[in-house]
Amino acid sequence: MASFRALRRGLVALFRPRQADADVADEVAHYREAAEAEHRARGLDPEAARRAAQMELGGDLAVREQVRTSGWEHVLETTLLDVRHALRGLRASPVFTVAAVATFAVGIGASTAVFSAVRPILLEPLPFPAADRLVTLDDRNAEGFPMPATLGTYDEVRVRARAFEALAAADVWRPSLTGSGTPERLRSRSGLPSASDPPAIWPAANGVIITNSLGGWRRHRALRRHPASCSPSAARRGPTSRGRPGPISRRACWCAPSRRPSPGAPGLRSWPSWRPSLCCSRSRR
Amino acid sequence: MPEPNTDVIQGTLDLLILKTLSLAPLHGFGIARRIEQISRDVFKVNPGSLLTALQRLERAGLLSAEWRSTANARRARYYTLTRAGRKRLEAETTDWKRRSAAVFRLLNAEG
Repeated sequence: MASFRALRRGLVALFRPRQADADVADEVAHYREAAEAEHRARGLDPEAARRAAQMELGGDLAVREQVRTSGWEHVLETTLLDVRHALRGLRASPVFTVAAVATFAVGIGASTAVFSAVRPILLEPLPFPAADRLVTLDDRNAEGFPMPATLGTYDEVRVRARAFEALAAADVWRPSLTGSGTPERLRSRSGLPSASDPPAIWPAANGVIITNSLGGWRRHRALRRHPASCSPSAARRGPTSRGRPGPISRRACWCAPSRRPSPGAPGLRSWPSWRPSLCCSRSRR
Repeated sequence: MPEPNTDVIQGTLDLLILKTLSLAPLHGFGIARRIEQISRDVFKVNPGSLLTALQRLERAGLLSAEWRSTANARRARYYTLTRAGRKRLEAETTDWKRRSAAVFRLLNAEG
């Protein structure tokens, strides 16, 4: 109730500023005149009484300003005045306005673009259960820099390592997405399937092609919902380990592993920049 | 000898206004003078602070205000304590007595 009253009084002062000013001015004037009359009653001459009252009050205008600026509406009032002043300034110097708007547009656009890239790469979790347990394994050269693991390393780890629930090897592959629409180059990795691999340990296995093309991902988001999208099992029936798969069709699907990989061992690094987001099956020819 | 400080203790202006208006409805100048009289000139109220506080208390529903004509045919805004204001006065008075008693006890403590 009190807040409603404060709101109402503030709105009245906002939309009827003259009335609000007059009320405050009357109250201040009454205070000054009453003080002046009191000083006269004490024996001061009119001029001295007026001066004493003025000294006590400290100036009508200052008191009126103090009272008028104490309400919440003053904040809104000054903000609107600032906005009006800014708009007038912008209208008066169009060159500056265009430069400022262009700067804002470029800044906002750049920030949006950067965030659009950062969000799916770094912030969003991978679309698999226990995605934080997916790791990649690299060899290290003599200088300590990472280098791709060899097949020998893969075989050794497969036989001897106990830190992983399952393993799969993958290779960089850049397929062409063809079919309806403009053909597109995807950044992908092709899996190296093995008969001993458990099915769908993670998307890189069993010949499933995984792309981390952000543009492609955005453009082909609708493919996931397409009635012709293949199932993960259909994706697993895709390419084999012999040679590179051919052009892939626009039949796309999500491939989520049915089993969770084990936690990574020390020395393994996670795979933050490689984002398996879209899985595609090979075209049936 | 320096003049004694006549400023109202910080945070107590609302309490003083509420108490003064609990005695009788008054306009701004009357409230200021009544506070000075009752406090025996220990406190002198700054008019700007007083009118600002009156507006704040009135908006908070603790006071009601109405314009009346004075003897010299001038408009004056008279303030009256509302029921909510009376409740607030009771609460503030209790709190102030508790605090001031604690300060008094501390000042009279002996080692």
